[in-house]
Amino acid sequence: MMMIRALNVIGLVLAMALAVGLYRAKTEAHAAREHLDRLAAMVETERRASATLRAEIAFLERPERLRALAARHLGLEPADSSREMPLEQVLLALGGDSFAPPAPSGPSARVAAASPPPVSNAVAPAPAPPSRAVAMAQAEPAPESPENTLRTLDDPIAALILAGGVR
Amino acid sequence: MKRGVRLLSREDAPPPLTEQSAVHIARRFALRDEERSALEAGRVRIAALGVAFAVGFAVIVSRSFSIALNPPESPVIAEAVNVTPRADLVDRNGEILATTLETHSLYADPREVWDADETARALTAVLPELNLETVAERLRRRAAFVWVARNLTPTQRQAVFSLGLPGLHFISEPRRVYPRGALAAHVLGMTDRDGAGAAGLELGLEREILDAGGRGRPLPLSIDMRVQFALADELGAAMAEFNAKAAAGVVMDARTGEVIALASLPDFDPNRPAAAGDEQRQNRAATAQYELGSIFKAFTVAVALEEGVTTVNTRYDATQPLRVGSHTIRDYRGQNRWLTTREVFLDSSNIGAARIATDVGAERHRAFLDRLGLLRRAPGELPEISSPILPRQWGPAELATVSFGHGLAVSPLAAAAAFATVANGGNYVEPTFRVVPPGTPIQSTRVMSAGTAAEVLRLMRAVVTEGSGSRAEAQGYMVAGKTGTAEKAVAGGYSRERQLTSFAAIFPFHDPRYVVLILLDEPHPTPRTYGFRTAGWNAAPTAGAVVRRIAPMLGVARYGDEPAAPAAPDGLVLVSNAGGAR
Repeated sequence: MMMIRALNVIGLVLAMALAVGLYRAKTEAHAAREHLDRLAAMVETERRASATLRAEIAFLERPERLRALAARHLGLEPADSSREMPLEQVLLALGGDSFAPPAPSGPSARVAAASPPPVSNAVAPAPAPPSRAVAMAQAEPAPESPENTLRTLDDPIAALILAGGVR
Repeated sequence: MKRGVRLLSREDAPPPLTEQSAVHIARRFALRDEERSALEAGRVRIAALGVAFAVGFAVIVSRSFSIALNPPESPVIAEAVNVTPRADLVDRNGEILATTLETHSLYADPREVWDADETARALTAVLPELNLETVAERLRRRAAFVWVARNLTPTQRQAVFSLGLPGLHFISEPRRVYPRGALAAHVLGMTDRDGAGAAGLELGLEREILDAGGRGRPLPLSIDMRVQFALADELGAAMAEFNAKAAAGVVMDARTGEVIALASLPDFDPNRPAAAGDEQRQNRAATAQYELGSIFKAFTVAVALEEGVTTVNTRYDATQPLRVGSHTIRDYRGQNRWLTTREVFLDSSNIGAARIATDVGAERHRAFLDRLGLLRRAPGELPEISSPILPRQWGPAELATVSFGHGLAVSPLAAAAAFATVANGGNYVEPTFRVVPPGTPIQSTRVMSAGTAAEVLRLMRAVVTEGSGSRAEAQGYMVAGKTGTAEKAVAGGYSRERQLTSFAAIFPFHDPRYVVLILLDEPHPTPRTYGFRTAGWNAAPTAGAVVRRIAPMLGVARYGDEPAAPAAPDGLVLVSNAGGAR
């Protein structure tokens, strides 16, 4: 009799402990799931934000826009194969004294080569600048580039998804 | 205590009035005690139970209160919009070409709208591109859901929010955007309203795009954005210079079949598909079929060499126009003399080409073109790639005209793939828009021997060094090529005025790798071309300009630079290496 009573009591205590444990586990799991969902939502929000930013970067880095900017602010134009030379030649030209040759040298690919720049480029080739610094100083504004290359700087995404958005 | 209660229950006690001695009385009192303690035990238990219940109720009540007072956080999970996201399309260097943005679409529940006209006016003030009448009409409808505007930016959404009008709601919708605008528009294509591929690779690679999107990865294409831009840019410049109706170009890696760039002008902005007309939408590099003219002579000479029918020095009679059936074949610049195969190719003699083809025979000629992939739709993931327009029969007249590129209309992409075969030592590789990782085994079929391919390539190099293609030369990159000037088919024959000029270039000659095909539709003569409108004056220089720009991007090694190649540029003082001799 006593044994049975003791067992009952122990069983009861155990059952209660288990019930409490189960309850706690379930609540914790629920809370964890909610936390997870919140985190997932945050990740998704961040992902979308970064996707938007990446699209924005891609939009601002459109080749034609970069070309127009480079032409306007840096006096640069598309590189031409005649302006390219192997490293050995550049080193040879520079000799032992890298400051000896006048301006149009340097290891950059913009060694002012003899042949004129190609004529078919949309950007009017500036007269072969004696040095990049001078070219920048002159910095004559490039002819207006086609279409809206420099427009819509303020809201690039609007430029992408706007218009045609109305059904 | 409990034990005592159990042993001394009421039934065990003697009847109440039978006691006679003090012992009995004492026992009775004892029994009373036992009874009381039993009762107390019961009360304690009841109380304990009561407390337990009270605690339970208290917990439930407090929980109810807390739920009632703090409404549960609404799940902030982003609206489940697109089940399978579309992967970004990137070029071979990982530059984004197409991506998906979350936008906000505005809809209305007309039952909640108080004043349709008022609401419409307010909306059009904020969103000027809306039409007042249309919006008002929609808001008056007896419906629970009408679209007002789709794909709004966050700024526009905020503006509509600020109106504070009832009945207006937003849902977020993904929208495909093409940040590079018109660049590679014909390759990328577009998606429909619901985000499914509708044209271009968006349609052709639909499954791969969804697969990659499911894994959260971008899908790389074979296109190189920089090359694509250079190609489109030079084509646009040529189109403007020669006042051409349209232009198209293909750049292909002959070894892997990868299409590095494919451009068609006029083009369109896939972000505003509605603004594009059919002229803009047509992909002239893949969809349009052209009789490409003399560039086909490369294939005619190739099959003749391959079949042993001719050598470069075999002579053909080009003294007078050749009559084949009802056709009379003339030369553009008739030499009226006997020409070697080499001269036929360099001077682009139609008569000579027709004679060579006749010697080859219709069956072999046709089979050869078939192996070059010119008689069927060019492979490639673009759904717009068209099938060629074949001659109805393959008689002597057709054989003669096809030998110089008339009577068979193919897509420029198919022609580029055929030239890639020449560049690739006679092995045909299917063009593809998927990126081919280095080391991937390339499937190819042998069309001609490496010797024949090399011979044709030498002839093409001669076209540039001493023939009509001299303006295609790119210093150091050894361009080989062939010009083609085709008269366009008009009602009742071919037009002398309306021409299609083309140039097929392979470079570098010393290590052939890339094919550039340039096409100009109806170029006009200019003072700078001395009134000529043939390919050597417009398509060839365009091809040269393209090669000059893209070769450095593609990392093509220049030839002839090693010891003392180009004359020292002006102003570049070649200091004698007194100290720094290497």
